[in-house]
Amino acid sequence: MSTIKTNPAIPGKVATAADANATYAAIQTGTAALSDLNEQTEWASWYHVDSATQESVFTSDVNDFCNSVGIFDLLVENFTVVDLGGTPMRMTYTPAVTYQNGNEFMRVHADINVDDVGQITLPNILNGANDVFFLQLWYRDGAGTYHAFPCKWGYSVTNMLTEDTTAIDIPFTIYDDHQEFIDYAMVHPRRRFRCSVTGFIPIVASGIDRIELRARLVDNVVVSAVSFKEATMTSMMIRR
Amino acid sequence: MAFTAPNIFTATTTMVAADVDQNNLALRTYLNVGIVAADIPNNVVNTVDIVRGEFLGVLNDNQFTTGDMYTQFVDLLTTNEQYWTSHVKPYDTAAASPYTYIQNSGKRLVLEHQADVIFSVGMLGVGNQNYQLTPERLRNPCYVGHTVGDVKLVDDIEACTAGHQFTEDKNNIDPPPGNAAVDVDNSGNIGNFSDTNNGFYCRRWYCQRIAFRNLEPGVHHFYVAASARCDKGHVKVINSQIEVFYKNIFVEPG
Repeated sequence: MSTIKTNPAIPGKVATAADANATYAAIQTGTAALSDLNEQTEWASWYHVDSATQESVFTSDVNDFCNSVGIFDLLVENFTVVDLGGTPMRMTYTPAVTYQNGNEFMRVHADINVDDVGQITLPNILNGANDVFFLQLWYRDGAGTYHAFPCKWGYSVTNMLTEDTTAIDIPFTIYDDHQEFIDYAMVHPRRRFRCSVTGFIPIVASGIDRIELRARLVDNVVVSAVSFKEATMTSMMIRR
Repeated sequence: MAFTAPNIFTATTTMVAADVDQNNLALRTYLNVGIVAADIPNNVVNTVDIVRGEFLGVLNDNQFTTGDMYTQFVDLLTTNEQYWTSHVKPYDTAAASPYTYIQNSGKRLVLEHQADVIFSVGMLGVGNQNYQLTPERLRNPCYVGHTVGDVKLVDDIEACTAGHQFTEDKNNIDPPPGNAAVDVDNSGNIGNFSDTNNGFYCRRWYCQRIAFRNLEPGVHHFYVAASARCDKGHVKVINSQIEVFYKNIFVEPG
């Protein structure tokens, strides 16, 4: 239903029964199912809310995670849950939080400190992601199936160049400068920095019962470990 | 239920004023008192229907704000940094490690009802103007704080939100060997070259977001605080926002 048509009486013209009836019939039809198209925006305040009825619009479904003590040593090259001293960075909805209207989405944010970096063994020529770790958000749907957010956040832990510096072509000679770059990068690892990730999940038919932060190394020969601590994580269903 | 006109007109019968008036009266009655809750389908009241909270000025901040946010933006180009100093500990001075509150980094507000609150802050820690202890500039982590009521305590600091800045250690140690790197503050930074080579630890941008759930009605502060370990330093809090989500169980005012 939207706006209701009327058939106005026109000056100088005899009003017909059909026109008069059409107006009332349109009102009858139009008021059979009122909708948000019949409302103004920004009209409701606390005074309009029935305290006995819990409207879905007020159910924000905020969840949180906060850890400042535990440490997680990332050692592997496949995505694994960040587990801070036995406390996984995971938020659980019981029962699964479900989507109730169109255009709703789940908003998730996590941030975590890199506490330390393990043994670094830089190759002469660094590939683009050898010294990188990735963070990724994952969720489990109401049917128990895990899904990765379709985006990853990569962080380099050294300032080593990815260009080939083993054979720099300068006038009259080819110069191998890679060791100087390695030496400098080895004493300037990036430590104690905070990583922030944010993701959004549109409608999942079966709902969501878990959200977790996972991490992986790209090459644990180059960077043997990255340890994390001091993390926060929050999720919230954005209702319509 | 839908409006129903009392009179239906026919083409061969002259309409009389009384019938038209009766229809119009019925319509007015319907509009005034005839629409009942059942006429409005479920799930049609959306957040766009809810009155927006007024920010500052005429009305207090504690207006109905489910799903809305308070936000403040500090222009990086026109606003100077907020300085802190370890010489002044503004609150909870009896505690072992008092924190310094960063001005303009957050907000004080009054929650009308129990609510979930998400506080987000973007901050830039700047270290290169902390020349007092050059070259040993110690770590000055910034944290998110949340205080209930107006008495700020060390316990209000959320340790899990640590953002490390100012991690520059000694160039040299005494006695020799002079060029050895020493991690004096256990910061993980052992930059042992000239001052210009230590920049990886000086300027860091952080975006932090933390949720506070089931907060009780009353006064709440959300802010950034520094654990000042040097003579002075500064930080730019570029943007902070507070999102208030009132719970679905509440009591009507008045």
